[in-house]
Amino acid sequence: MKPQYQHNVATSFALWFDHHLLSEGEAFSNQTGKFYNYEDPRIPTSYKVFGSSHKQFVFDSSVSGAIVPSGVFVNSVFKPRSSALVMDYVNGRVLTTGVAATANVTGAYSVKDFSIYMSNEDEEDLIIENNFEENLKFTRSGTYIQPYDEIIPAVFIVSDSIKNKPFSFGGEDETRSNMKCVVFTDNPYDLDGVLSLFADTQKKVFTEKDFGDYPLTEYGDLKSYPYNYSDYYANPNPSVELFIDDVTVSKLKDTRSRSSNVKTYIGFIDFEITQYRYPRA
Amino acid sequence: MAFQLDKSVKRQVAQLIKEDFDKKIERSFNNIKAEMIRELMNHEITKEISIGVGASNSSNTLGGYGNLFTFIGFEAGTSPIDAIKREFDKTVIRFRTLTDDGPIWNIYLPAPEDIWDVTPMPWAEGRSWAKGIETGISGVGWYLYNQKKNYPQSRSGPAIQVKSKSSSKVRFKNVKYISDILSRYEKKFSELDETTIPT
Repeated sequence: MKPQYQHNVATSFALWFDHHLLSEGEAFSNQTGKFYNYEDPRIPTSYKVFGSSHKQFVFDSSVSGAIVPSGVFVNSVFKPRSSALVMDYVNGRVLTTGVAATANVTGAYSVKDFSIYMSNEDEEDLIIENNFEENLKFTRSGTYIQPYDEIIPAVFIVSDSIKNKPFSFGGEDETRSNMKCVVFTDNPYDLDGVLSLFADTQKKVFTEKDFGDYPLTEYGDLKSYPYNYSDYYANPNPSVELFIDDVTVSKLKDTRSRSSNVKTYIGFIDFEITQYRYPRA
Repeated sequence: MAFQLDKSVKRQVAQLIKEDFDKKIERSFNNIKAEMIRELMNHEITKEISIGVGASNSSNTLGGYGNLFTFIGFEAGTSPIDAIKREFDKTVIRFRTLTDDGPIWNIYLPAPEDIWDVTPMPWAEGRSWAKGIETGISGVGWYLYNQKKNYPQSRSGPAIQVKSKSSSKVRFKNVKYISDILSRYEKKFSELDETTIPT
């Protein structure tokens, strides 16, 4: 099936959300550290996997002050991204060929304070059923973070519903899309920060992008380096404008201990996004 | 001079008929307002929530499973509908002026947003449960209810045991509620003109 409008909205929203949180909220930290070799059965055997202690590296070069790695150091020699070195920004690791498992792999990168996930799960499933790991705030020697598992602090973006309402003669509709975000943090300060940052985005606009414009590959690497988020206000174009009509933020009034050492604070951000379009044209 | 006389006569006429007019239009207005509030109070959602923790899911929004009061997670003994009724009660009519085309009056009817503001979700106060009835409510409240129901500080009281498998998931089905009532009655109020006023 070819991508539809809702795919575009969800993709555009996720990229805007990520960019806004990183650039306006400065929600990232710069790190340097070692990458540790481990086996991953999901990756072709031709690659050796070296994982860092963090997940979700910043991949948007338009974020001021962020380090978007274009490669890593292997035995103190810089090795850039190539077909022989894949940066997996999502899982915080590199996939390499022609590097010994015992090699000393190091690098500098920015790690997001909040992991961003697109989710198909209901919010009750996210809150009730999932067990998250915590992103390591301080680099610990000899450890890498397991790939694929979801980690907190995190924001889960759920594409909720879409509704067309007649707007003008000639078939123009107001299309209203609801995006829900569930925020998990390990402290109330971070939760308040995210909720406050996005409560202030009401009546802002962002750019509609094609589903295919998502910048990462299936390996979590950039399709083209560097990637710069194109902010609407830097290049306004009403024909691709998505308008944030309403934002509601709230905190879950229930603090839960998810595991013995991780206390979770949960909040919700509900967005109503409108666009005027001709869905039957 | 002629203009001034005309204006003065108009003012006197307006004054003379205003009292009588007020009575007539207010009667019609009050009938519609009463009908609107009756519709709110007789709505299946309202009735189910008004009954409270012991209600059955007569609105069928949960597939007949449990009830809305505990699904949303209200505190036992609270009356969540009261806030909506208070907003509906604020609907008023005010005579404004008399023109050559007839009298003009303003009707103040709550907007859906006024209702959202007074219906916070018990577990996430920025959200409105009344809006959620129309757009969808997750099962978080139901989960919190189930988690706490065996404890004395339970939101809906420890004695209430809704027949359910505690681990099963209850799906909420959206229905038309406040927006629908208000939009239909906004139309009815706007049709309130001289032809509908009994003389």
